[in-house]
Amino acid sequence: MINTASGDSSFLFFALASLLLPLLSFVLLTAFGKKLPGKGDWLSTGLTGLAFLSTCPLLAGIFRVEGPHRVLEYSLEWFRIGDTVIRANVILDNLSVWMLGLVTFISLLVHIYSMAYMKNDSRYHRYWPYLSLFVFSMLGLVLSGNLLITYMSWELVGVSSYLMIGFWFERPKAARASQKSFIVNRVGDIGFLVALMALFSLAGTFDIPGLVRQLGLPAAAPAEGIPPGGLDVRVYMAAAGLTLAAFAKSAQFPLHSWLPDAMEGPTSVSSLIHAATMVAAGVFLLARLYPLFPVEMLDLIAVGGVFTAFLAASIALVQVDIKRVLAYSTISQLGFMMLGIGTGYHEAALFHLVTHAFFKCLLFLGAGAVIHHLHQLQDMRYMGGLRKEMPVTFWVYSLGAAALAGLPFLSGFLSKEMILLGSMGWALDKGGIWMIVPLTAVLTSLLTAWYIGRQWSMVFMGERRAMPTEARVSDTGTAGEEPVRDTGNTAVSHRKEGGLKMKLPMIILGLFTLFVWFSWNPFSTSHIPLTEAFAGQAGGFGSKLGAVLPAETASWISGGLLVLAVGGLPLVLFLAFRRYSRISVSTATQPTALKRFLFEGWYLDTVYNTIFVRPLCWLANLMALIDRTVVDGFLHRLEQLMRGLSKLIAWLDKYVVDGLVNFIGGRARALGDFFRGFQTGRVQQYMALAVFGLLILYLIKIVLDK
Amino acid sequence: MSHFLIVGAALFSIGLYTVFSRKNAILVLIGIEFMLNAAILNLVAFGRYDRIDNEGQVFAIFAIVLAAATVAVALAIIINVYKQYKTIDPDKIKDMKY
Repeated sequence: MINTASGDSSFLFFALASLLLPLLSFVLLTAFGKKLPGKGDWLSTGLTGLAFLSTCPLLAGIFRVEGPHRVLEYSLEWFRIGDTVIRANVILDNLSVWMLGLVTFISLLVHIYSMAYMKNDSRYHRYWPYLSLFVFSMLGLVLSGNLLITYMSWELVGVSSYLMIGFWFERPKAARASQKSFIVNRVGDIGFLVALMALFSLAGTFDIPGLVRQLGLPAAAPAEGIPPGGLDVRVYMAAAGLTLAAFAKSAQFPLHSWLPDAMEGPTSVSSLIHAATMVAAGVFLLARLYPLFPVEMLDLIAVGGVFTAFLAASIALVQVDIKRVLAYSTISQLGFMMLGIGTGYHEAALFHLVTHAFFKCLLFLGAGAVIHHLHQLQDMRYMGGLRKEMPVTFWVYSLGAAALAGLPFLSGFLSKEMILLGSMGWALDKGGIWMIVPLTAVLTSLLTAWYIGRQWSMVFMGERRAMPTEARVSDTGTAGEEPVRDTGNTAVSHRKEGGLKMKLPMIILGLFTLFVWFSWNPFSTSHIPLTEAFAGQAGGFGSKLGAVLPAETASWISGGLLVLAVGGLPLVLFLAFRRYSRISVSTATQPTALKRFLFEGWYLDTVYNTIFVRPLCWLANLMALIDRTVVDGFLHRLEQLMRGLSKLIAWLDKYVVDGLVNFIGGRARALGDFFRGFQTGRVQQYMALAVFGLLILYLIKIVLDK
Repeated sequence: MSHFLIVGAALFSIGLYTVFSRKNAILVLIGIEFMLNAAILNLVAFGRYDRIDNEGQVFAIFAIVLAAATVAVALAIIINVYKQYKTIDPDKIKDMKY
């Protein structure tokens, strides 16, 4: 099915071009960004556009829906340790080529949007190289065929997100958020490192295709691949490490808490992080190394994913910050993707990744437009009625929201239905208590409709709620009494909707939320070309599902989900609309115990603070105390001792050694002084001395002769 | 014979005393000449033991010529010393030390 070719260097050229153009942009803009016209925004956007264009021949040449799928591998010896050759690989297959196109496309749109959104920022020139670096790291991750390079790109993604989230580092919240994101991601990186070591000790290589060939468990019947006596424990270590890494990067419970805080970054960056570059990395990694995962680990991923999805959706229900709702929504949707991977349908997860990239990017750009329009106001309680002021944004936002909710005729419906269907099949196959998983997922998708309907109603529907001037520190008890603002650039005084540069990307993304791009049948998920391409096997999703689920059961479930989507979701949306479109500020801020619990994110941050941060700080303080008293004390004692000793030695040196030397010198000097007394400089005296000396010599001679 | 030697010794002693005691470099020079001539007188006196070659006399003449030369040099030195120090008192010229 898969043919491996190593020729065709034109594909390699295009792949490397799309990888290196953003890097070039990063280097150029870092060096000359300030001096370029427009601070280099056109250069950066243009190079990203070129990168996107150079992925087009790849998409045309390599991406195939029907088999045989082409997998091109290019490798170059990187370095050598002993007999082990580490190669730098580039893999071009359906997955990487498609992701390449997706990432560059979304990035291009975000670049265009940013030109308008970031226009008046004081660090405008710094924004662009960071953005380019971000794109470069993600493309490196996508193209890499070697886990070492993947790891490097993985870290680069982390660094760029750190830079971006802390873009307005003068605000303490942003600085803290960027550190939190970085530190939480370090936890995952350790998992990655452990996985790297475990895999290398098993297979002796870092090449992804090599690893999959050597260690891959047969996808059709995983149980057959297990040797008697169970799998090597290192397989589990590797799988667990990779899972940890993916959970950190893709913001899954328990490592999800960095993502909502990451909203401190510019909104355009949030849209990039949430759509294509950062959080997708975890899902992508799991999908890429999917064959390495034992069944138990996949179950864990599925449960973790569905729990995260539910957790985040429930938190999103009560958030008042327009961006935080979307952030929790992303976590929730990523939970769905994890569910897809865990239940064995990684192609469904990737499909959801793609559709989610489009509509979540759209939602963030829309939110950015709203924030921009309202002079950096982010608090939804003081919005409302914006459909009249910004019609274009309203319409595309509605499309994105509907896609997120999963209404039929939109892409979100297809991908989410696929995941739900897959998980149903998986749970029915396992039976019993596992049914909780798909049911939670279904419940979560209803919650999704509720929170996005709430947001949509509060922002665009009803009338504008005036901001009470003195009620900012209100009696609500809910945090965020201060209306949250996406500050950084000071208020821009235009009341019209954002310019073409902001509208165009949103409109394009809005078009991509429609079903037609992915499937001809808006209700059926059985023949979606994209998933067949990702599945790497004939029939794709449908036949895989058919293996565990009888056709009529599948159609029953699928029908049920459809009814839910057609009937249930609009009902939920309508209820949300009824409840929230005309809600008053005071009602919106009324606290209840449950609301408060949800608003604080199930108090998980508090728990983390108590469990990890505080003890760590306490430990650090204790260590500091030990350092100060014991270690420093010992050193001080030692120092005092040494000082006493050296004083003694100094005394000896001064009075004994120097004394001896000075004594000898002094004697010699005294002798010299004595003889110097004769040297008066008077000629006659010299003469007299010479004569008397001669006389004395004569006298001696006379005495001796006698 | 011994008369000559006594005169020579007396001349030498007078010269020595003159060299030690004078406060004028020219008189010191004269003292040196005294001593030199005492030596020359001794040479001539001892010359009587060599009647054939008269080496004492010949040597005395050489010494006289040399003495004339040294006097010329010494006087030149004294003139230069005077130019330098504006005095020819040997006691006041104390630079000839270490």
